Amino acid sequence: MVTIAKEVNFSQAEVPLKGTVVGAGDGHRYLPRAYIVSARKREAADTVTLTLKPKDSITDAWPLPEPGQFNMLYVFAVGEIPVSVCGVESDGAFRHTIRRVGAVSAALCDSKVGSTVGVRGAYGVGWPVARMKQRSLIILAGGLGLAPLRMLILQVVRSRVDFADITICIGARTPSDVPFLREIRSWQRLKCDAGLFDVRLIVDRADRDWRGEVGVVTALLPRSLTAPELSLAMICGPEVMMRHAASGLVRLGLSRSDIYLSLERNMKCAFGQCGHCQFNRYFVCRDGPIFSFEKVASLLNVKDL
Amino acid sequence: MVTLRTIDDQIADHPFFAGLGSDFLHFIAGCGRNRYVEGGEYLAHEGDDANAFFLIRIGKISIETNVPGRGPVVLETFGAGDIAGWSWICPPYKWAFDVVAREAASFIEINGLCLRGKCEADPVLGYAVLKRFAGMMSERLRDTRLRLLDLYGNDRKRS
Amino acid sequence: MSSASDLVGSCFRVSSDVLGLLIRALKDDGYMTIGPRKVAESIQLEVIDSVDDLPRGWGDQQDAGSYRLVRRSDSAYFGYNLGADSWKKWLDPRRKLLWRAKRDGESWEAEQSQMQVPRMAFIGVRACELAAIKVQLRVREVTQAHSSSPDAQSSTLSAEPPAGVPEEPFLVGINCSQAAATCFCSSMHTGPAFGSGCDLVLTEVINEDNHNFLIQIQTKRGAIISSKLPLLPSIDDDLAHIDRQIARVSDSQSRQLNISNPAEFFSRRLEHSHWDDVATRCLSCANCTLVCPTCFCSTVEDTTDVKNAVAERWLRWDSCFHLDFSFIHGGSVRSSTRSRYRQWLTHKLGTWHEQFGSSGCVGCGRCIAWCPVGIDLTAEVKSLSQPTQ
Repeated sequence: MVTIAKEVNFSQAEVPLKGTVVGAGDGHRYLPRAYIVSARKREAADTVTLTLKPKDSITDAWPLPEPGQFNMLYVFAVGEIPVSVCGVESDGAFRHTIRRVGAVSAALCDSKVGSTVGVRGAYGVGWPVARMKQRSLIILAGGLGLAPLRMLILQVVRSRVDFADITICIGARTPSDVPFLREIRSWQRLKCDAGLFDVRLIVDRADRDWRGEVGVVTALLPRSLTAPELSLAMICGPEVMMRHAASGLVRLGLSRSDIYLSLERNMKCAFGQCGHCQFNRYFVCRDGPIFSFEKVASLLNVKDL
Repeated sequence: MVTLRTIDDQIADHPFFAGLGSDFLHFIAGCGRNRYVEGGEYLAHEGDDANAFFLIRIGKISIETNVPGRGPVVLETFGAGDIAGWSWICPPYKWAFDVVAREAASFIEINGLCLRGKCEADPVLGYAVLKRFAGMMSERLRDTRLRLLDLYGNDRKRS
Repeated sequence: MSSASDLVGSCFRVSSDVLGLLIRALKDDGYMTIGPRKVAESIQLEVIDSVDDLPRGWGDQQDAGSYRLVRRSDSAYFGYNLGADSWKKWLDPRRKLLWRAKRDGESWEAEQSQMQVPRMAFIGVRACELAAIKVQLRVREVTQAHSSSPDAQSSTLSAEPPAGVPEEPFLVGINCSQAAATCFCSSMHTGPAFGSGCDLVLTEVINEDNHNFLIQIQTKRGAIISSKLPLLPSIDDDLAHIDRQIARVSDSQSRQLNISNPAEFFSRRLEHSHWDDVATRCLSCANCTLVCPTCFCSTVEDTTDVKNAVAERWLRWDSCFHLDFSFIHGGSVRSSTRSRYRQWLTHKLGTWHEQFGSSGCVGCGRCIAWCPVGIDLTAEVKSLSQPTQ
């Protein structure tokens, strides 16, 4: 009998080494498809919404994203960044709202109608739409955090009767920085017979003409809830704001597993391979960007994680 | 549609006053009176003696200050159920900012002078009231500091 | 004459010159043979043409922040332990073209690059290196399984992996005859004994009178190649000799890493005072990630030609120690050395378990040797086990 050297205690000891050679393996996962800018709208001084249509809708169109997912947008020879999808049209066109903060976002903001933008996606875990039916919803958006929530809000607004109370709190820096202002106004005009439907808008700093509310967006949260266990909260905005909003919601009686945040990290691949977006054990691109507060509460308090 | 409720009921129900004991709640209610103002009316002027605070029932009020060249600047707004005004608690007992009705508002104005006297005479009660107002101030300060961070702003310019 | 499959599981003896015949046989079979070479003052894994390219008679002395090649008193081929590089540079090139796009006015289209991957044979794979290859394979497997866009895999565009997926490399393992002071594979259960996965496992037997190799055939492919060599039957003591060698090498290891619940160990120590201590020493130079055989972080580079007519996207290795690794608008999330060192260690030894089901560390000790300030992660873990200050 032949004694082969002792098998090591190693989980993949049995696995044949197929596919070890990476070689050219991953090129296809990084390949963008050409989309054409079919419309552009200036939302604020440094913010633009682009509507992107696939160049050829049969062969080029990516599958429609879920609310909260994101695409990687590429500008020829400049670079690529992750941008949340804020809208989807029936012809397969995507809407993305981009703020000018770097070279790629500036190039995207400058893209003219007719120019080509590379798109790949959709990536990430979106808002927990499956959990929302019959529940009361608290949606809190700070600044451009409204963009990843917009698709969700549109769905909720379309079928208001499927939910109990709906509270939508939107905060922005100044009145001229409110994204989708016209749409927000249209939501505020909607009626709902089923339950409470409240869309409130607040700014950090008012200008002369502002007749609305002034203060921090978390001040718009209800002061108390009769049945917090029925509520589901979805928050998106600067991380500091989300931390405080989530704590406020816990104080109102919501369970951490019923509060959802959208996190943001540096992303290069968007499919959990390059390692850049790691947030402790999570790959934000693949395990997020939407996380329940239960999963990330303790991690959010660790500095520089 | 708002049902007419007595001041006693409203004070007793408001979470801010919870745990103060029915006698004292009745005392506070006794210091209060219902008021109604039209939009644009001033409830208090910056620099005036501060002897009141407000529990808003309907409508919106704002705290404002006048900035030369900019005119009146709204610092914060409050609505139904909010409590506004704490300058009556500590010296120099002067309003720090203007308090203005943004739109027609109905509210309870509570006499701070009267309440201050009662608190001075009864430190146990005084501490209970001060604790509640300190909590409110701490929340407002937290919210103000969050706004100060200017998190929504264009971060590229941040140092 | 027994068929090749009959040979699987057997052990044979060969004289040391047969090593050259093995390399020749692999080359004749179309393999690009890659093995250790002495390059400047270290051992590197490069293409080898014959047995003469091997670092015969060279050994190494390694310790925290120190690596030296030393002349051995014998002429063993594999008397060194590990160099700075690892097989990952052959399995996953440092820089590769992902796609190229040509512009035509306002429009452009990206075309996937077709990279030619040669058939490779790795000569002289250590047990820890085999384990590292498996760790990287597991990372890849988990990433593929999680792919958020299954449609991307089956699109009608030229977005498929090239036809004929390259076969896995031919692995000739070598049992270590000594441990470096930096080795701790024993406590990581990745060695010195080999797990399955090599085609052949060699053991070098050298003394004053003889210089032989024992060959253990582990796969059919290994058997086919071996059947071209002048194999001699092994003697009774040969297998026991291998076991004794493994035990000796294992017992000689001075460093250990023993964490009973690694994921929990680190998640409870994210604000431990010891991170401040490491931060005073760590230069954030990224050496550890460059020499680590399991580190997989990468980045993309988008380039263009002078006329802005052709754009390319390149994939390149990256390190979590780079300041801009975690850069988002406004700044890097991990802007301090402290946070970056913590990220590396807690990932390698802790969260890797939660992500991939094993440790990210195989105990090869390269990070200890090649850290310019000699940071030893086994010692850092011991410090982290103490209560926080």
